[in-house]
Amino acid sequence: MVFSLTQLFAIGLVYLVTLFGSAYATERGWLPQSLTRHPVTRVLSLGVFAGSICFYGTLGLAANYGSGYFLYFVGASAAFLMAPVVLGPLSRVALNHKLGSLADVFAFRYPAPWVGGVVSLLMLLGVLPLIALQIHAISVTIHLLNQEFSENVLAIGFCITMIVFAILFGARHMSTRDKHQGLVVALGLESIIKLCAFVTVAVYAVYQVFGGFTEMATWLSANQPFLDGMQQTLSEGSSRSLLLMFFGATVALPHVYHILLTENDDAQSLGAARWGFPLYLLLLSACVPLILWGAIRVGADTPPEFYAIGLGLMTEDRGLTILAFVGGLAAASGVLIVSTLALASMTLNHVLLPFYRPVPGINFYTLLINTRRILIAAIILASYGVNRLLGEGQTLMSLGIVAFVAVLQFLPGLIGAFHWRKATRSGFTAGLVAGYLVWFVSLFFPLLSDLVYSSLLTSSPLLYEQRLYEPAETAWHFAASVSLALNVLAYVIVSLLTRPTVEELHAANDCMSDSFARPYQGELEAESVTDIEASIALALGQATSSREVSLALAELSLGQDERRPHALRQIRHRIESNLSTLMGQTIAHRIIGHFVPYKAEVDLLGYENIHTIESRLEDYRSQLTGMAAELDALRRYHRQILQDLPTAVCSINKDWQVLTWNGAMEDLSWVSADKIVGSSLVSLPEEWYKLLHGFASGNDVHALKSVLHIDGQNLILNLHKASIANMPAAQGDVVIVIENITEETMLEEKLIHSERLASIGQLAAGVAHEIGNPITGIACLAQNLKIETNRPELIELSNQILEQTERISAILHSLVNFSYGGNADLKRPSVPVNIHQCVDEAIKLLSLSQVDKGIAFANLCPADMKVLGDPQRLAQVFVNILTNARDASRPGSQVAIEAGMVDDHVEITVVDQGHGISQAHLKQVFEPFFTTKDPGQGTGLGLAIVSSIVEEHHGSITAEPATDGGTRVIIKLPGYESSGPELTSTANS
Amino acid sequence: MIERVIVFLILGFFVFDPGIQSFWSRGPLGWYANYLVWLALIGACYFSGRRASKDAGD
Repeated sequence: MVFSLTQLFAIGLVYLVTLFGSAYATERGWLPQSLTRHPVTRVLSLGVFAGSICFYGTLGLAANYGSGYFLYFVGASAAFLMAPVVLGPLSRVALNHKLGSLADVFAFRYPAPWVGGVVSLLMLLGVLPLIALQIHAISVTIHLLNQEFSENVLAIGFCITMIVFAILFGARHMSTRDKHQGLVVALGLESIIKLCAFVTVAVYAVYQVFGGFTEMATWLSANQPFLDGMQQTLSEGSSRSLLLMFFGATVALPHVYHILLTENDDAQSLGAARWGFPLYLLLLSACVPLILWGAIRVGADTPPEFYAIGLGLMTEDRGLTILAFVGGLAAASGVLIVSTLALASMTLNHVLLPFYRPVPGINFYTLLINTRRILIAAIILASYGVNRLLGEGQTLMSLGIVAFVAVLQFLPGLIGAFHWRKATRSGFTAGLVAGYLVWFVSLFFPLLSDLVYSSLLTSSPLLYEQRLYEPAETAWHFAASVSLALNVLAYVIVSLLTRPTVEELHAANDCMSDSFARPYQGELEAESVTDIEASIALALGQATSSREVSLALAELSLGQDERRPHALRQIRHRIESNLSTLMGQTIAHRIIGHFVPYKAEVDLLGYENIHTIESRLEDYRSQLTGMAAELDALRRYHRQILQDLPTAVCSINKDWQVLTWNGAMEDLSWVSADKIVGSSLVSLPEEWYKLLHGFASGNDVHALKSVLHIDGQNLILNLHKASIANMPAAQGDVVIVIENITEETMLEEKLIHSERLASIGQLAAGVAHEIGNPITGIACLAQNLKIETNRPELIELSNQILEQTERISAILHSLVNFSYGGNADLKRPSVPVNIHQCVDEAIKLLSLSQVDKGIAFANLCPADMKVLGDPQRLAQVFVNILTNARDASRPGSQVAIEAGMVDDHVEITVVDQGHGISQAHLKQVFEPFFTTKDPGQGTGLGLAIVSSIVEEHHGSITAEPATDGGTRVIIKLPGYESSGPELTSTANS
Repeated sequence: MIERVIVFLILGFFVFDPGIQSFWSRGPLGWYANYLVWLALIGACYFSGRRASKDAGD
């Protein structure tokens, strides 16, 4: 059975276009997010791990080593089942710090300029055989289906197609930080196709080849060697080596990392992958023995690795053959595309970008994308080169093992990164180089030498069996165990011999499983967002800098005017994270460290302030479990008590940074905790800053009755402070408790004032009584003198005496009235009082006065508005107010009296057109003996009496400047509703 | 607790393989005994994950 190349090309193209179509539809939003972001989609996308090694290689492994194939699937599954050991911490650190590749992770954990570059180059060298393997698998497959062209020509065609699709899939966007959700969906689809193809071939083998499971069991019983072959296992050492290789490959292979972490922003997705991915592998794995037995049963004449294709070819089932071909294509293209994208990013970020210098006029983002495209093409072509060097008969598994042993060398450094604080970059580099040297000598070089000199040398006698250039079982074990042992040994010894730098210890803290991300605590030299932007522009140019700063601000929901130290630190950290996804951790860290530095050498391992610890606990709350969660609940309880205290509390650290600002403090200061916590004290309004700074820096632990003049009012505060001495994390911090005693002080003053008024009243009554009698005598004598004489000058004199005594009597009368004003015993029963009539009466009384300035009184009060009170005393209120209004008014002007209901109060307004009252006098006009009239013109008691009477009636009185220059006096009295039966009866009584 | 059991079992598999594989496959369940053990581990992992997310939700 033969397929034409056109047919195969068309099938392949349809598959790839479908895959690209699904990616495109996802990125355009044509597919629902419930599907594209579903955890199952993410889990399926991880199926990219199962490349040609899985689809083809495991069949070969099963044919040669029985249940050895099982180790491939178990090793990969173990990486996910044991996620807390490596993948869990790796995922946490990678997502927190936006580490886009394994080279970023190593450069982050083992900070040194060379680490990222070394890791990238070694990873590229180690993974090239794996990519070559994919090319080899497809070229062999196509060659099995079509004998027209050589494998080499077919491999070239496949590579060119893959270059185009790899660029389409992963290098269309401006940066790698844009998550390619389309790629994830496409790989999910690819995994489904691969699984369907493998399962269909297996089901076909059972039902079409054997006729069912029972028949298969019968056949196996009859052909015991095949069953025994499946039960055959590798030697102990080889078995463990393979298991470790597949475990390490799953953790460290770039395409797994790329899909698991680079294209993922959901920290929870690992949860579903932990059981979903092993389940996916289990389904694939279960098919392997079935396909193998089916192919043996039909006598498939292909190499065992290609039995999936061979079964269809042998039974001449075109549909099955095409399905197996598409499944194999899906497996190979997935690994090839994603590995290439991941390696291109790593190489660009860690090998090329360190040499980049900004060139004016060249768009940085365009440069990045074009370089990445070139790298993609170069890596695929290099893989083709490796494939080209392969001799005939090379097995897929042998190539795969070369790659897996290479990738295994990253495992010690990776485990140590998250579980060994003392691991150093020197130790890591030494271990990696030692492991790679052994790998190169024992596996890679013999492979090349066999390929290059195959015509001269049969093979390397030590490690390779002569027949198939295939590394022998002992060679896997030797290469893997010796390289790994030397790697670990060098890693441990050199790490113990070298002292970790402060930066390394800080990175170790970040990576340790029991630590949260710890941002630096120092103060930046940049004092504003603009400063940061200008600094970064020096490295990346103005346009790139503006774009990165805007992106960081948007992600943090902060404004361009941000100046708070902790917010600036957050912005710096976010920009570094974003840049690390764009250009790698090493370069991003170097640029930000150089251009946005801290003010002085910061104590990276010193204790952090309470605010930072609390912020981090809040961020990680959902991740706390067990005792940590209980302690956090206790912390939150105490925090809430502090927050809800009715007394204002704040705390300040030694750097004058505000750490605590509770709810009462917010109410008192009108400064939100969100704005001030974490900021410098100087960010407070000036008055508050002076008060708190002065108190916190002084020696007194109490400051009683401190006056804070803010927003036109005086706050009277008692301040108390305490230093926190026993907590290392709070060394030098000060807690300040503030009591607002403004109201109490005012009440106290009012009480003193009332007592003073009462004393004045008593004095006035006594004075009035004592002076009244002699004045009456003087008045009588003056009257007698007037009657007894006819002399006009004496009559005039006596008239003047009488006039003055009347004036004295009037003053005495006012004094007596004032003294009675506060005397509740003299109150008469309250009755409904008609305001309009009361005002009318007051106007009439005023019209009897001799003073006539032609003032017009306009009584605009509604006729039916009533209050409950004493009519005579209320009339006195209006007489006094209208007298003052008249005296202040210009001749011929008008005094208007209006009234209206405001809520349940009657509001009476008296407005004159006089000279008004100055702002300074407004508060004093209701004080006794305060007058602005000329001496002898007023006693200063009129408005004091009014205020006293109004208060008796449970009302209030205020004065304010009127809009047209006069004065407006506003009286508020409780309203009276005539419909109320109880009040009416009271009124009637 | 389940987490520790899973890690312990896998490490045990690593230490005792291939003897343990051979032991399983020669038992009454035959060649697919390995798959059943594997499936049980996946089930344990699933329940462990559910429990962890429930605790986090609380």
